[in-house]
Parts: sequence; C-alpha cells; structure tokens
Amino acid sequence: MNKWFIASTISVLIACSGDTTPETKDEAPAEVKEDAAPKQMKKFNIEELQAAAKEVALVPSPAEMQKSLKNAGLTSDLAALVAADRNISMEVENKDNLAVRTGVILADLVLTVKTSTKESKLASLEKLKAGFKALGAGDDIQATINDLSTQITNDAIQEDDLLKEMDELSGVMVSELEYEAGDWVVPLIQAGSWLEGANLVSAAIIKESKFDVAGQLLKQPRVVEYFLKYVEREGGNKAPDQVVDKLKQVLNSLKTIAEKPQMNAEDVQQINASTSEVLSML
Amino acid sequence: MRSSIFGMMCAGALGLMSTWAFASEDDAESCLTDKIWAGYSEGWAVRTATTTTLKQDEHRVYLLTLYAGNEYKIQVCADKAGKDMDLVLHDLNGKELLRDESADREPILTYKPAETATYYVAVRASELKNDSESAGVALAVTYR
Repeated sequence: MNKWFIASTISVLIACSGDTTPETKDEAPAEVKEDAAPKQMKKFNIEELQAAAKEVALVPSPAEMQKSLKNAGLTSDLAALVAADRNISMEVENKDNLAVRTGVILADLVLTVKTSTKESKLASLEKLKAGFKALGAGDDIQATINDLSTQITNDAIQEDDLLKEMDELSGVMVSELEYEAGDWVVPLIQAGSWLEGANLVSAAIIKESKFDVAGQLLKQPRVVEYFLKYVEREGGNKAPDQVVDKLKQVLNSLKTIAEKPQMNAEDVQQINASTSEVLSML
Repeated sequence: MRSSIFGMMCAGALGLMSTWAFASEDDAESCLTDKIWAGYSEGWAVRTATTTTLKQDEHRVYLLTLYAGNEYKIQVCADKAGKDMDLVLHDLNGKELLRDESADREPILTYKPAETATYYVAVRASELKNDSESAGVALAVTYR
C-alpha cells in the first residue's frame, strides 16, 4: 500500500465522515427484504452437490449418539458403559494412532462429564493437551484446556456450562483447528470418537436386546468411508503401526455391515466385538 | 451536482473499504456462537460449527449424517456484508427436501429425519450488499 493511497484514504474518510455513520455490530438486526417479488431460488443438482461436498459436519458427536439412543427408546446411559479402568497412554510415535487415542479420550470425557470425578476429568484434559500438542494443534487449544482445567480445579464452573464447553471443544474447536501434522488429523480424531461411540451404542443395543433400532443408530456407511479414506491414504511418514492396521481391518468390516439393507443381532455383536478389539489395543 | 458526485465518490470509497471490513468470518462466528449457546436452554446441543467466506452466488455444500428420531436445526449467520443467504437441505440423491424461504442473512432450517442417513446441506450467498465483494459465513448443526 503506497503513501498516496494511505493519504487518499485518510482524506476520503475525513471528508466523508460528516454525514456517514459506519455500521456497528450492535445496530439493527439482520435485514429482511420488504419487496414482494418472488425470490430467485437456485436449484442444486446432484453433480454440484457431490463436487462441492465437505465432510466437516459429517460425523455425529458422541453426545449426539447418546441423544439418538434415548430418542430411539433405549434407556442405557453411555457414560455408565465407558470402561472405567481404561488408561490410554499418549506415548506413541505413530501420529495416526495418537489422533485416534485423542478422539477416544475426547469422547469419554464428553460422555462422562457429568458423572466422572474431578481428578478423572483433569487427567483426561492433560492427556488431550499432550495429544493436541504432539499433533501440532497450536497454542489456542492448549490455552482453552488450561482454562477449563483451572475452572474445574477451583470448582468455578457449573456442570451445565462445562457440558457446553466440552461440546464446543469437541464439536467446534477440534474440527476447525489447523494441525501441523496434516489435514488427516481431524478425521482420525473423529474416527477415535466415533469408534468409541459405536462401541458403546452397540453395547447398549446388546444389553437391551433392541436390535430393531440397530440400523437407526449404527448404519452410517458414508462416515466409515470417510474414515477409511484417511486411514488408507498413501504417502507421508507413516510408520507401521498395529493399531492403525487393525483399525483399517475393522473399518472395512464395518463398511460391509453398514452397507447391508438391514442390520441384525449378529451384525451388532460383530460391531461391538471389532470396535472393542481396536479400543483394547490403545 | 458537485455535491452529488462527491457523495458518490465518498460512498464508493467507503464502500470499497467496507468490503474489507465486512467480510469477517469472526463476526459471523460470533453471531452463531450466541445462537448456539442460547439454544442450550431449549435442549439443543451442537454437533459442529464451521466458517467460510462466500462471494456473490457462491455456495458451500456440507455432508451431514442425521439420525432418525433426533430433531436438527441447521443455522447460518452471515456478517454484515451478507444480505440474503439461502440454505437448502437435500437427500443423498440430490432431491431437495427443505429450503429456507426467508430473505435474510441468518436462515434456519429445522428437520426431523424419518431415517438415519447422509444428507447434503447447501449454503449460498444469494445476495450481498451492493458494495461487498464477499461475506463471512458461519454454519452450525445442532440437535435435540
């Protein structure tokens, strides 16, 4: 920007400032057209939709899985089904593996935020910090987690507010961050959370023998395809990893099940067993 | 006449500058965050929220997995550069299911799917303010 442009800009601003009031955020609400002319509406065709589709909102959250469980008539509380003795280590070299672990911890924290102890929440937040740091998520999320930890430590946050904060952290902040490790990080964090959610939902269905709603709760072939696309990606510095290899195998079996017209009891049991197998390796 | 040309020059110059000031994803995000948080009192929770920038007639499309039995609210906030944003929900075959009929920059769709499936939602900058090149746009998917 040259000096002339800056001087001209200032001159124009001064000259025009007498009768021009800039808009501010607190002014009038969103404008509504007052003319009665029919609105021109663009129609989208399938090719346009497919070409432009982004997957950032594709994957349901663990809390949403809990809500869908309840709305489907099941009474199980997913928080009560979370393995209490699970102690996931964040000391792994493979970043895919680490992203999946981060997603599982995030899911468990969101689901148990109302039932877990203060110490448990703080320990999970520390693990999340370690995971996000290793994945190169930047300083903002570290600061957010530090702030949450301080509030929990000091009993300075209400349970409902903590739930909202965790929703925002898991559903909004994690997916909007840029990760130094690569654009595959968000899908793999989501894969970890979804895998844990699918494991718990399938456990609830088995526990209550509600196999008739299995399709409603677990049939998500596009979600599984989305994860596979990133887990099976080529290139990079991907070190061989047993968890990632098992994850590929499990996702492929879940895809086959999800593409069936109907899910039966055997399918649900297979989903539960195969997801348990991956989770037990973490 | 002189004053009217001067007025137009002022309007044009300020308009040019306001384009930069208006296209703010932060403003759109702030508007949407307020709506999301307000929704909690009515039982809504957030799945995800995302921001983008759209020029006139540009659109973004997002894939959504929606559960049968849940109720969903898909809401958009554009910053002050936006005048009319369109929001359209389609099934996976591209069939249009729902469209907001409003002519404002904060459209909302609510939908209760009959079956758990993947859907497309398109958000389009149908109209920007005259002097704006682009608008910051935020979209959230909430459920209850």
